Amino acid sequence: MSLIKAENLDKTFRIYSQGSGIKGYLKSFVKRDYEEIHAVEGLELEIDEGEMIGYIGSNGAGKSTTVKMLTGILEPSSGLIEVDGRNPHRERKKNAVNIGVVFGQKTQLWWDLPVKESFKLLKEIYEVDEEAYDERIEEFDEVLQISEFWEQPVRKLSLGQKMRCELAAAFLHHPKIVYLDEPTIGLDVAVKERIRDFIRKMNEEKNITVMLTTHDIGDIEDLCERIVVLDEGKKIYDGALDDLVNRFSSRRLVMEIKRPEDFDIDIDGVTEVKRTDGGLEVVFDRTEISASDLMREILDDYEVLDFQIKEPDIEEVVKKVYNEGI
Amino acid sequence: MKLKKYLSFTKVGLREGFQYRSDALSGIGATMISLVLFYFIWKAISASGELAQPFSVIISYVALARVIDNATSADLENWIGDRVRKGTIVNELKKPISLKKQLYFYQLGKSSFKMIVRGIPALIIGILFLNVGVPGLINSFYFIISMFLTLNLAIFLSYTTSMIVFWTKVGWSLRMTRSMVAGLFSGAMIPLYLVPDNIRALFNLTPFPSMVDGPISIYQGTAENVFSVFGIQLMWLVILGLLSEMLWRKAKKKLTVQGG
Repeated sequence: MSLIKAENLDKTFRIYSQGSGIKGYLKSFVKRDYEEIHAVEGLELEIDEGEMIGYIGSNGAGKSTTVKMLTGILEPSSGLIEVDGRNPHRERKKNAVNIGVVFGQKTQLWWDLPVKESFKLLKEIYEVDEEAYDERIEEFDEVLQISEFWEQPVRKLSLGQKMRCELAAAFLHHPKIVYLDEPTIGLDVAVKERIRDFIRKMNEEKNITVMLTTHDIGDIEDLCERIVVLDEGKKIYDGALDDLVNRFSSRRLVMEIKRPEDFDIDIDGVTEVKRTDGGLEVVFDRTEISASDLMREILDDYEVLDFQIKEPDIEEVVKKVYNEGI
Repeated sequence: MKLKKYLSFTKVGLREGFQYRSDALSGIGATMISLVLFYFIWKAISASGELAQPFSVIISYVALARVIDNATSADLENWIGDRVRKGTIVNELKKPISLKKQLYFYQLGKSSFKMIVRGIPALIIGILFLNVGVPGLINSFYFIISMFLTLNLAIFLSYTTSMIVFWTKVGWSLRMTRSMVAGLFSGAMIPLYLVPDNIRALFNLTPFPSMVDGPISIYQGTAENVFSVFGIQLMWLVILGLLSEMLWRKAKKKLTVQGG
């Protein structure tokens, strides 16, 4: 049985429009026009224990709303959610013991107090015993290096330091599931790397299920085998990351040849030839011509100094998915 | 309910108070200044000679009112307002604890800090210079109970108004309104025996008189029946408890409809 299950999930918000100009503001101050926004529509989702899934979609696609429903903070407008056999909204507190959440950009640490005070509080809230607490903090420190600023008030920490603390806080009680809503937003490469290492380690060693919302393709590539793509509240893809990449069948052959100015080919399956600084780029559809056949034909006519076949990068694929759908 | 869990919020509240030394010190300073201010205002009013009581009696009441007001303050409106506006309230709702209990114990810590840096110094000054006097053992004991009930009332009241933040999104205006009304109706600003009877009757329909005037009457030994003071305080605690619970249920719905 899956750990997280959502069936036909809908979430509709009522928001009011502000109007424009002073007249509009005054009008909306007196009488408000409400508008319905379908944040999530007909979502079906099943996640098994120990999985690490990437939940992606453009801004406003409904990712955070889904996370808020799964954590029990928001009640769905209709549909069914079961997390570890519970309705997370109706049994919010019981469900909360089993989960860890990081809402990126929204710190849960106590702003004026030293980092360790926030952790002590979390230790009490989640009833982590003394021994396990010490052990885990030490273990987290190895990867996240939080002891460097353990005694400092949170307001003095950099964004990266804060996020490392947030991560540690979410995993402190070894929950069954951790929801990470954009955990690497705005961080430098080194911190991102450290955070990814940590998430991977927790998933592998403690079998903690991770649902990761992100705009960072690096996160997905590094961590997730399975991705779910959301667009305007609807799920448009759910499956292996590799399969999604393979659906986009165009490949690029990048090469360097002698006398590139003479290069002129007419081969079925080649859709575009681009001249770049370093040489040539041939775009081809691999369902029509295989890379080896294409190479053979080119080698017959030209003297190739160097070549490389490039798969589409994920970023490009995702961009395409957002723009055109699947 | 696991008390230990929630008591750690009291610790955090207390700790937060003592985090900034200058803040603690300026708290003491502000209390002193307000005492001096009230002293001169009431001296000037008394000089008109139209008040029913001599200045020495009035200043004793006013000084005690400052003590109680300072020792039992609560401010949850800003705390909630801040989190509702920034959306960080989700971080509170993801935890396996009740928001109400968390806030109650947190405020208990914050208020204890205020009691230490504001209430107690004010009481000492009052006893030394402002004719406040020291009650007998039994009345002191009753006064402490009554103060504790007032503290609870202050927290419940602040929690109740802070629920409205889920609609207004702004905390400080609610807090200002609440504390102005409370100051006027409770006796914290004007001794209630100077208020005309018919207006006084109106005040008595609110929880405020039981918060300051009540404990003062116990301290000064003027209460007709100590247990009826406690009774009224307890009654308002129950009413505010129910009211806040009702508002919280609506607020949760609201949060759900508009997306936090």
